[in-house]
Amino acid sequence: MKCDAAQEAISLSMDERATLPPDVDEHRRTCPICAKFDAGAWRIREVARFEVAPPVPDMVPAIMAKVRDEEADRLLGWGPPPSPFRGWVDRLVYRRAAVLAAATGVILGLALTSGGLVPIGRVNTVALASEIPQELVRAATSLQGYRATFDITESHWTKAVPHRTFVATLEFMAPESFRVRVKDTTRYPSATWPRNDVSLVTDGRNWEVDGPDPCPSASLPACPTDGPVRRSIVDRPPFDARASMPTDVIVPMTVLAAADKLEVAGPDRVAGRGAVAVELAYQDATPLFQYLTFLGSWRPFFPQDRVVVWLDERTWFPLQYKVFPAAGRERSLWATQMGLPSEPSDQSVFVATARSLSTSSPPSKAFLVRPGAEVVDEGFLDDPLPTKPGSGCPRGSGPIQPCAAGGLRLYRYGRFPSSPLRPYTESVLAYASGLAWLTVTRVEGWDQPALFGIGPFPETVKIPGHKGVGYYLPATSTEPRRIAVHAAKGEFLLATNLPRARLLQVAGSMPVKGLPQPSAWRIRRWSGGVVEEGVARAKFALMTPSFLPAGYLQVAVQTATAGKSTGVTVVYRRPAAELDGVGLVLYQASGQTLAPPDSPDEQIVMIGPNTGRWSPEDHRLEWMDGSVYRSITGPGLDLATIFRVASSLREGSG
Amino acid sequence: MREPEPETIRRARAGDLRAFESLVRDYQADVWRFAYHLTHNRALAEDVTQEAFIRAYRALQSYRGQAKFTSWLLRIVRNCAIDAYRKTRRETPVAEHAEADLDLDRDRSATTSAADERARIHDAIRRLPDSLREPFVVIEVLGFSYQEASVILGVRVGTVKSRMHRARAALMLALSEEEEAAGEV
Repeated sequence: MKCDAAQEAISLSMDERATLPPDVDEHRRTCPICAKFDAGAWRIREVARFEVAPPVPDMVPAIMAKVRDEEADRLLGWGPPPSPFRGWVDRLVYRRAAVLAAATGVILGLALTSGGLVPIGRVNTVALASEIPQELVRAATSLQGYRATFDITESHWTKAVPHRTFVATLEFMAPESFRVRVKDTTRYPSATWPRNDVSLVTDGRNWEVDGPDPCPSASLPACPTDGPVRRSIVDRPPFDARASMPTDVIVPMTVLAAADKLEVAGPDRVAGRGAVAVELAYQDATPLFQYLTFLGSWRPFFPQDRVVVWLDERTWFPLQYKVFPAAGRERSLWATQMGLPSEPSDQSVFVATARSLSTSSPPSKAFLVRPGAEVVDEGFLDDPLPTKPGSGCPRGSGPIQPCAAGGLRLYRYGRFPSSPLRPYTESVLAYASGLAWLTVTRVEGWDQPALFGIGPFPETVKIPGHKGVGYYLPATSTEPRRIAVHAAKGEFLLATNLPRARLLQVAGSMPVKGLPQPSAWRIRRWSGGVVEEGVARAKFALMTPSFLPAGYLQVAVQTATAGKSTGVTVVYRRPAAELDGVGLVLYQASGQTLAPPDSPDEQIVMIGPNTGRWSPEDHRLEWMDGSVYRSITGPGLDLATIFRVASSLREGSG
Repeated sequence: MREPEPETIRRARAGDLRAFESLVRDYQADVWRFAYHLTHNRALAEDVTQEAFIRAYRALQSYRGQAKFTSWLLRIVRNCAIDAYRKTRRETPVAEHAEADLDLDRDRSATTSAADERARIHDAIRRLPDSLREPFVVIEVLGFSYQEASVILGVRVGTVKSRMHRARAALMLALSEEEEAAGEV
């Protein structure tokens, strides 16, 4: 047998995982050249197939940004994507460099000071999005104290001051003492520029903010003229959303509870500590910025800008977070409108980095509030904590309270006395553990034809334990997750920063049964027409989407009739948090036409055979479908997604 | 390489960006490795990977399942690598692109004889002509069958078989020449 043929047969048998024909096998055993070929070929396979895999960069964000960009361009009729290879590749190379820089992060001097960090349990190097909320709750409920200093860099506030720097000092002591001081360390062109020094402090019962009022960038540097403002609140009810304690920067419960939007970019290291990088849209990350933006002037961000947060894998404290501009022309148009320069999507425009952090408790005097001249008295009166078990738990005779408060301890109890402006009594029980909290508000003598404490379009939910129904709203950027319960014993409102499932469990442990709201509350009549909640009724073909973005569910409907016009609103939301307070709203109406354009930024879009309009400012897609007006609004969603929902509309009951 | 769930492909074809994103997430490593073997350059492999997924997104409507998804995807990668190669050849001498990573690997691994052998084998693979290196990478490194390799490379199965054998023979020759040269020294 010839060696060439034998070696070809050896090669074939290796690839097809077949045994060698007997004659070839015999030749191989007796021919040193072919034996060497056989051994060498297997050695090469071993080396080639089992080499140590080189590290593979994460290209998902860059690829998907490009895909979404293309999709939006296509929908807007901006022509086919620029084809070949190098133009955008070059941009992506830069983006990669930026992402690598972000990933390696330069956080020299991160000091873990006395008190040490709370070990939260197992080291979670490949945290999954679905696990993170549970970890966050564990971290939040065990945290007693926290001190941190963040270095902050912000770009493109104004043309004259393209970069600003700040040092933010944060202190927290469970359950409700919080202080942040933000020192503006920017080198301004002159002393006339206002310094963005802001502070917020609360001890729970009192609350105060200090700093300059927001100032339009066009009027700078002449603004502000009146100097810093100081606003104080006394007799504050526990965990008051109107005078909030922006603690998401400590443990981002509100942000990352929206797990369906969470992208776990993977494990990383920041300043030598194991971290998990997660990515989310700015729209979902606003609570991370609230410890800065309660006063003063700050640059705007686009809802779809990307925020990358590096969470400490043992404690879940954010170690660093950055904002990268979204790609695409929608974003460019918005930037022009805002007076911002061109901002490449690979260059961060905001960076906050923990310089130091500790879990030692600050002294109580750090949270001392000295009310200034502008004081608002919220009128909450603290009462002694009830010593008896809650009524009905199982034989207690104390105030009505949950028999199981999600592992939290009763911490404050009090009331708003009735007054001419508030002709009802409102009592509040507050429970807390670490950063986690829950309030149970009971209202007696309620005289309004609406659920207490809940805005429009609540989701009707079954309360566990056959406790009837409640009316739920997810967290927004200004409100916590809430359930309103209309019961024979009065109106109840449960509010918390715990996840929705825990809130429902607590509601299920209440010794009351939730009743459907009275029809007079659900149907509102006025001289111009009728608005009816919970009903979708029209004399035209109502359509429902066969596609919804991940996590979105239909939660509420409403029909409004005025004269010959009927409009049906259907609301879709993610259950845990919808920070824009809107979600996705589908509106269909007869007797209504497409209004004339009112903004130069509006774009013409084809939706099937119909001509429609995209309003980037409102994130609204609207069109006439024959004689029926339809619109879809989603502040947290991009055009490609909203367009897809629109394209999936079909006739049906939904 | 494992195939994706048919439902994921169906959803991606229907325009579901999250489904497409899951495909990107699942296959970016395999695609990058293939691109790296074809280009010898990390940055270029990354560009090729990104371009390949963009082209796959555009072409997904035309994917009818006539070939395995992975074969179809890697064929796109190969085409992108060829385009990238043509482009870089026009702009920059190829030698400048094919370099730094190789040298780094060599430096790192030249400390032991076993590592030295691995480096020599990798060098020899890199020096194969494209027509032989491509089937070698697809079959030997990525573990595809002849049939799948023929789809990826756009040549007949018989051609794949013969090129694969010639690749092995060329590698053996190159390695034995190196050994002889080392012996003479």
